[in-house]
Amino acid sequence: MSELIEKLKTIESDTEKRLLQASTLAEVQDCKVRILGKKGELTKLLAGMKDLSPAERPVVGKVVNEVKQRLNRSFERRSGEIEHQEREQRLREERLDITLPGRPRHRGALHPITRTFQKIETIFTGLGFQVAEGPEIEEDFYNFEALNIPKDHPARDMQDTFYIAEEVLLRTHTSPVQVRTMKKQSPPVRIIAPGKVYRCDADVSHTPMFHQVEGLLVDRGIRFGDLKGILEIFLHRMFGEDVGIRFRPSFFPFTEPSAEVDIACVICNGKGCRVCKHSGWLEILGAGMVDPEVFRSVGYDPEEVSGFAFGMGVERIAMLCYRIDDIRLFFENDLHFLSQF
Amino acid sequence: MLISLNWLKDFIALEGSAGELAERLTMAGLEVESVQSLSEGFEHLVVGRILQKAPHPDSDHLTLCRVDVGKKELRIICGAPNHEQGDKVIVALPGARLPNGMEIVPTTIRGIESFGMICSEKEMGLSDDSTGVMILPEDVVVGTPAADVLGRNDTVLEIDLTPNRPDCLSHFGVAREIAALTGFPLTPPTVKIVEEGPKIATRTSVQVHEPDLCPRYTCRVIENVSIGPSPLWMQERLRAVGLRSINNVVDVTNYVLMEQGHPLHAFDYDLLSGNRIEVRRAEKGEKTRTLDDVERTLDSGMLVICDAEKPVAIAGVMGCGNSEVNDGTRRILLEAACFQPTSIRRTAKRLGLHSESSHRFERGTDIEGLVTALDRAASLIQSLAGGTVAKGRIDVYPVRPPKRVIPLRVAKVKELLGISLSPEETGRILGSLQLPLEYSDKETLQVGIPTFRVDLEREIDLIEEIARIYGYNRIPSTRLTATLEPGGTTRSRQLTMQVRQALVAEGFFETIHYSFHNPDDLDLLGLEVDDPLHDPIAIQNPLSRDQSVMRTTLLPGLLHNLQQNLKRFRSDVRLFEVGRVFQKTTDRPALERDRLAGVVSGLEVLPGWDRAPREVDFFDVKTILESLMSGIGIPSLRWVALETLPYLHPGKSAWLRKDGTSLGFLGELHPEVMKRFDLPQRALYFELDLEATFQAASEAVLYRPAIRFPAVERDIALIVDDDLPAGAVDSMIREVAPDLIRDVRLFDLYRGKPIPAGKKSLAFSIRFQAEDRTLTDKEINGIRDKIVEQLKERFGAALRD
Repeated sequence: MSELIEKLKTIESDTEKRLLQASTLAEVQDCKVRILGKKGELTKLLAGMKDLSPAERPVVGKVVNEVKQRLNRSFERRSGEIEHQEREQRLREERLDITLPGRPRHRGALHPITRTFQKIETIFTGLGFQVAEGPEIEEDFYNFEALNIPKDHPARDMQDTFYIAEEVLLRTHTSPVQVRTMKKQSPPVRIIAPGKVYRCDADVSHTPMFHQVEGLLVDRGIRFGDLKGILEIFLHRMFGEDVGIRFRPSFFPFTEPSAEVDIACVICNGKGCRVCKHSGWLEILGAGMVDPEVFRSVGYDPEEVSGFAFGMGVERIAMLCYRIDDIRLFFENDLHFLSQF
Repeated sequence: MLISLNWLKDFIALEGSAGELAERLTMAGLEVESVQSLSEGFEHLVVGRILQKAPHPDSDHLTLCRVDVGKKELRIICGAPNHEQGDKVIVALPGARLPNGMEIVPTTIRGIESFGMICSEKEMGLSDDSTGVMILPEDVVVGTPAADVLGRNDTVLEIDLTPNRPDCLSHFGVAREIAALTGFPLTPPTVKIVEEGPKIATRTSVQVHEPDLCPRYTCRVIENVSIGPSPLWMQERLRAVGLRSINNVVDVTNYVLMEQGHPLHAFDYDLLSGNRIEVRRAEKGEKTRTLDDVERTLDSGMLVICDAEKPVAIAGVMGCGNSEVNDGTRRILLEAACFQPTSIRRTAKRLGLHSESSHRFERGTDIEGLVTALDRAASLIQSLAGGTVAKGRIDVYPVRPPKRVIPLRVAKVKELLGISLSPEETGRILGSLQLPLEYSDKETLQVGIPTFRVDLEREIDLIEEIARIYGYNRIPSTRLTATLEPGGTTRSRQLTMQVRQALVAEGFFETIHYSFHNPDDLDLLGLEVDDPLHDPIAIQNPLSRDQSVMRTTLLPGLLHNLQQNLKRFRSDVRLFEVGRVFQKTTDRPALERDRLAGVVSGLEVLPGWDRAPREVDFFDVKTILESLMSGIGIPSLRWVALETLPYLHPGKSAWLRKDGTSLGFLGELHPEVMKRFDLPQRALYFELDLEATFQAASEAVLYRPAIRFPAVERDIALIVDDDLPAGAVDSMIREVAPDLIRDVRLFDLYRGKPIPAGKKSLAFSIRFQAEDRTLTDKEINGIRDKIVEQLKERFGAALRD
């Protein structure tokens, strides 16, 4: 009996040694088969148990079970160790040079004018304004007459006009959309009209085509202070909550009282620089209360309703936002320019 | 308009700096564009007297001058031809920096040192005259700073006046405005005429045939004038506001124009045939030569001032050369009249002749104030050019306009401005503007309108004046309380933005081109003459031929741009534009359509460290467009071969159709067009009509539950004729069992051995799935056999083993 137990011990210690030498899962498995398999050493040894006396059997049986359990644990442990090592090894081998560049793809961008339009439209639609559009080739009536700019009026000099025919022109502002909207719809009206406009003028600060957003609000009891309020909200959203704003009297045939709206120069913070012509202020918007003549021309009663209108140049705003110093860049479409947005 | 502060001070006291005044005017609606000090560059310039003039020993044109500059004498070498011993001149001392940037330092000229420079008008930036040095009158004092003598101790404001304020088109007008703002008293200009001549009626007569166009005509006659230069102070004031000095009489008319804002004209009385004036319409085709020496052809819409025979001035616009005041003039007829604004504007426009005079008449002048201007000018002429003023004025003023009074409702002021002003405060504001209250009750003020405020016609005009003087920035901002209505953008703008974003995600840059271009571009595209795209809407007054017709297609703009960008060493260019195209139509000014167009050129797959680059082709862009369309709810498109657009490769272009409507097209550019646009590499172009596209687009999504029964894929390989479109086979397959075939995917296209010439092999993977059961092999094989059979029948296709 003791011989049997000795053998068991030898098998156990030999196996433990062999396991330590095993470096792959296959070797562990191989080892396991050689000991515990059908023809394994331990299995063979157990076959000799039948020669033992009934009294010895349980004693040896217990030892056998203990050895078996220990060995099984060893096999498992070793397998686990090797698996772990192998995984670590694989992870080491799979390591990337993460500084290699990603695969290049084409990168595109919206035009800065579109981005600026988006910003402006988001603010005003959030305030309940509806976007409206109109034709770019316009009739004299909508572009001028209905806006209180009769023929032979010096105010026509304020906008150099491209003509297509005697009564047909390229719209010089998006204001005709005001007229078209009011002719179609009764008050209240709350619209903005974004779009392209044209004037025959070309230099560093003028291009023959540019973009405007025009706004119109008509209702009962609208006051000049309401115009100031809305434009202040807009300008603060656009240029920052603490930007300085001032309103000064001006003249537009379709509004009265009319105002130019300035913001404190965003380049020099109002100290005076080349961009603001050392005044500390930048002209950013034209605005005013809708002139009674305009209401009459669209069939509204100026005794019943009042309202305000405002208009802004999108290029001007984009130039200030992105510090662009030449308006012509917007239409040259050089990729060096476009790819910066 | 330029305004001299010294000149303003003739009429009103100014306090504070020029900058403060500019700010104040700007905030009252007279926008000051710039403030310029005229003394800049005149430091270290003084009056000198040439004590001695001798030739330079080493030069035949330089002279050595000994010049007294007050405290000392200087040796100055001078190259001018016109100075003499005893002349008083302007000397730039060492340290001076002239307005033209030239710095004066002691210098050696041909071996002799010179300690300053005697200046010409050009060197001082006073005029373009560089024929010699400026010679000053005898009475100036040696050593006086030049700025004093030349009236340069002045500051000039450039005011950008709005067209509604002609009353401010003069120094007196601006002073009147300042008086309203500051409350300082206004001093009118001095008018002192000694009428020693004969009664004017014995000298001339005026007949106005068109009182509607010329509601008032006044004139004076001055005899025995001596024409000569104006005094320096007047020359300098004129120069300060940008006018050139001509002679004392003409200068006075210009001076009074700038001072009073009323245009005047001086005729040489002896050149007026019959010595009288008639105001009439021009005859059609009548010709005359204006003071600028241009022959003008007139028409009957134009008003002319005539003598007994001929036009001597185009009324309110410009005088004629035939009666111009000249050096020999002895007697003058001085005109101050009022003309109807529209008529002047039309005339000036038709003649292309914009003058200081027409600028004011077309905006409206003060019909009462013109007498002051006339008398002020007569008094100045008398004092500067001598002469005897005939007694009285001719004044043809048949209908004196009634006194204007505008009712102003106190409540309306509050309603529009949101401020409550007492009637007293309102009256005070209006009073500061010289708008008297005629009579008033609690609700309504009756406001008198002086004749110089031609712009005040309605109640709203008065409300604006109140707001202006009260101060826009004192009016409190209010937050609107209104009925909430949903704001938002239009569906088409929203979809357009979505489409833009989709292209940006595909690596496209958005561009914006002018809506007009060169008509020659349409020829470059190879468009036939009768193609509607070849018949663009033309601009009557384009800036250049390059911008003379409205675009009928977005293609030329993008192609020129592509060419430019490729030239600047960019080889991979992807651009798009959203914009309008214009075509002629009969019922409206134009047919306008919004389009989206793009060009792609260069690589699709960019080179990297682990892959090879690949050039973009038709199918890359097809994928982009399909994914863009699917993003706006157009999941399936029909691609139809296109062979008719002259600018596209006839074998590599296609229409995009949805339910029979064409949404746009895609194709490779025709090699001929590439050549004409100087494009070095292949490019693809696509264009979508946004209206049609968005009409086909759908936001609706209806969820369908996943099918629980398994799908089975079967592949079939076919041999078909080489020119059979794969799309035709694809749709044929789907038609066999539309309910059971979920997808058909072409996974192989092969030509060459062992496939016979003129044939190709197409291999499709077909996915079968039923909604209500598991399909059996038998069923699937049945459908497959039917597919093969029908393809054989329709297209002569054979199954490939």
